[in-house]
Amino acid sequence: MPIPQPFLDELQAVVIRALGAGATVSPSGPGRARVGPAAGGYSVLVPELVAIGGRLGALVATDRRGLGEGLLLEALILFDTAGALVEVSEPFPGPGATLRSITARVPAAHWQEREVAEMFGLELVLHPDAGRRLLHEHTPPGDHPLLRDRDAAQRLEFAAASPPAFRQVRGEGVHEIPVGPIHAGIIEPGHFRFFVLGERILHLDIRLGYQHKGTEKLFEGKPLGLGVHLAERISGDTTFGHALAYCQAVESLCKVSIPARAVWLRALALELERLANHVGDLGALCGDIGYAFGASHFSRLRGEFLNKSELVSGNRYLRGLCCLGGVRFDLEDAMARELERWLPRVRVDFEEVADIALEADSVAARFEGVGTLSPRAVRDLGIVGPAARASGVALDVRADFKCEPYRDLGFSPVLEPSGDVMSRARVRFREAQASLEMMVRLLASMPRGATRAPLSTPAPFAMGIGHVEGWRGEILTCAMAGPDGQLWRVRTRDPSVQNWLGLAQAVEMNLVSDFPLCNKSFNLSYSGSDL
Amino acid sequence: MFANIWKSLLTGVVTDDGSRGATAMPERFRGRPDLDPDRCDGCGDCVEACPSRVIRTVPGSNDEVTLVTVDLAGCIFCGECVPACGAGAFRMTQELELASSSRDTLVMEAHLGEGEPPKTQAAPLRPPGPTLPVAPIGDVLRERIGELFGGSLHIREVSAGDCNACDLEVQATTNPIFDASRFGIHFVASPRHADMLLVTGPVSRNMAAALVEAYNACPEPKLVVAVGACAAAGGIFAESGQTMGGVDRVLPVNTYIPGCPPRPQAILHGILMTIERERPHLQKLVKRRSTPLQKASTPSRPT
Repeated sequence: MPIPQPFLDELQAVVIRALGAGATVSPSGPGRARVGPAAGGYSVLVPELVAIGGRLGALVATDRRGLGEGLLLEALILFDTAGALVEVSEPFPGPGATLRSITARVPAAHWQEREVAEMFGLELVLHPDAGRRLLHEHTPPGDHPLLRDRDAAQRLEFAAASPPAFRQVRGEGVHEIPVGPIHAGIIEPGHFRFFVLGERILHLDIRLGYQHKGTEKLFEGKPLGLGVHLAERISGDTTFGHALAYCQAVESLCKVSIPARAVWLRALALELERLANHVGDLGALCGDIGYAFGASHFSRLRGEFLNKSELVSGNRYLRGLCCLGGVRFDLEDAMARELERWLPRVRVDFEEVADIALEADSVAARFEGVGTLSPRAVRDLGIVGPAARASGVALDVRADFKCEPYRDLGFSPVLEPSGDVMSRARVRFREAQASLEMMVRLLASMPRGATRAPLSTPAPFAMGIGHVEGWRGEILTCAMAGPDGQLWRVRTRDPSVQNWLGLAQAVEMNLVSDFPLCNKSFNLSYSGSDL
Repeated sequence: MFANIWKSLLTGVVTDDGSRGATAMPERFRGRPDLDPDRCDGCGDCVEACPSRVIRTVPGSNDEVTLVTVDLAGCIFCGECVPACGAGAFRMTQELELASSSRDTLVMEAHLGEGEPPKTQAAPLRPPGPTLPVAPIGDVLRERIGELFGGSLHIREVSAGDCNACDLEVQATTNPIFDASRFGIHFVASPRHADMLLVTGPVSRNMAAALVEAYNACPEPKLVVAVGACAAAGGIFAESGQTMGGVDRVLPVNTYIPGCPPRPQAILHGILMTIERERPHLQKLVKRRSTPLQKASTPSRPT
């Protein structure tokens, strides 16, 4: 879809105002435009673009010193109502250069700026909380893993570490509760530092990085095809969403057009993944309040979706299904018929359970009015996915960016107004219903034909972008290939990166005992945000 | 309230108790890869195609490949080796209960030409096959847990850099279908209550210290089970310097459970393997515990 001309004109005016008369906006692909690289292209232009309705997507830094340049910081700004993606960029001479933070004006940049600074050795100034995010204290200060001259396999000695610093909240009766990194349940590690007054949370400081595995670095130098398997393991519950975003990014580099049947099958898998997770989350929410009926039935139902995933892909998490150019396995007619028979049955089963669970007084008493996130916080922090839609903010890649096949089948985002735990639960319930409906429509309109297209050689150092509404929200993946046709840089922004601070906002002034419930209602990925 | 009861009655029992017979895995399910040494020509195409780099070719005296090894511990069961092999030597079986107490027995060897026969897995507890009801594993589990752990095996799960898929499959062992608690398996919040640590992930550098602390806090017998390809051998993250490359780089490991992620019944099987293997040691511990406690001498207080 081309970007509408009036919107391009408005964009051009803003760019000239921010960067001077020489700066221009040029279309760089369907629905994409780019500005720069220019001095101030990040620190001056991005706040201006956000002021006219842009949303900060991903920050992508690259080390181009080997190409006779320095570091380049690119920001992807999304204009959801126009369905446009604008790439702006600012060059830096090299590690040690100063990066002027925009977090004070664009809070959504908060974590990604810190990540860029620590990974590439930029000095972050004017940031309210400029410490390292993923590299813990035992990593020497001079180590910046994403610089290209740093070897991915190098295992550094553990440096003598000082205890981590947390923002301090002081006052009479205020005390701290440290939680983690190992949590009580069977979940990923992270550290939560609560500052509480009595039973109320005044402030929550979230310290992550425990799941950091150098995933982005591992992509570098891999053949394009092997990147899919790594992308599948960015966040296990979003295996297919991440694989799809990665494949889209590489496919846009190689200018492949994906066969219609593969597009439909990918959507089918994406909805299946959404269902397994949304249904599982509803169960986990019920489990957190000791509501055994919901916990048991939803976790039983989750198994149904996982087993159907295994039927179509050979793996309960849809591993191995997505591949560059399409999908690895076709949906056989017998499988399609089995899915068609199964869908109405599982829908009735699911709705019966959900109707009982979400109408129960004991559930409402715990879910309603707890962990409320305001629409303003959603916009400021760049919250995405069901967490945004539960606060009444209509953000959904499937609808906003008119992607196939949702454009043809008709899709509108599910919204709930109140922003509390109940809203986030209800958004999941209604989205699961919508996904079941969508699967029926996808099966009914499934085109025939090939399921995989051959790939051409990727253009070197161009940026391919993958943009997917995963079950947890918007996934943005950028891929660049080198002159040898291997991966040169891959950057993935999992929705969790944006949403963690939404959780910190939502729990303020709530009871400490409601924290697990609030946390589960966001259900964010640690691995996806730590990479 | 009546709606709850009615719905649950209509749903019936969903727990896999083996009474409905063995369930076949779907045709596409990918279990242990198998390599046919008669077909393999040692070209090494599979080595390039393997995302977690677990296939190795070993040249013999005249520089020709005479041995191909596949390390199941780090295998992610993607099946890319099957189409990569022009000679059709690889196939994916449906065997999924692959846990072993030693890394070496997880390395499959295929000797090319006239050599020794290929060595596969160490003898499993029951013959591997495509049919996998949970109950037979569970029956032995219940018996052993009764004998060695007073009927309840307490497990602390520690996620140390995994992608969360293994966590989800460990969680799934507690759902109504697998229902591990009926065998006496309970997941606990504190390592101080735990007989066993289940560790997932390649152990990220940032989790190494916390994992060791959790281990130190465990009482005897401190059983450690590495769940999934990352924990067992680093998996697809083995080459990243930001990970330790597997649990056994940090802690002594009793059992390795291959899989990416391992299915819930493979995890239960791995837990059983651990107990089975440590049984003589555990029996001694039980004996010591069941002898009447000697009157503790009054600890001398520091003055």
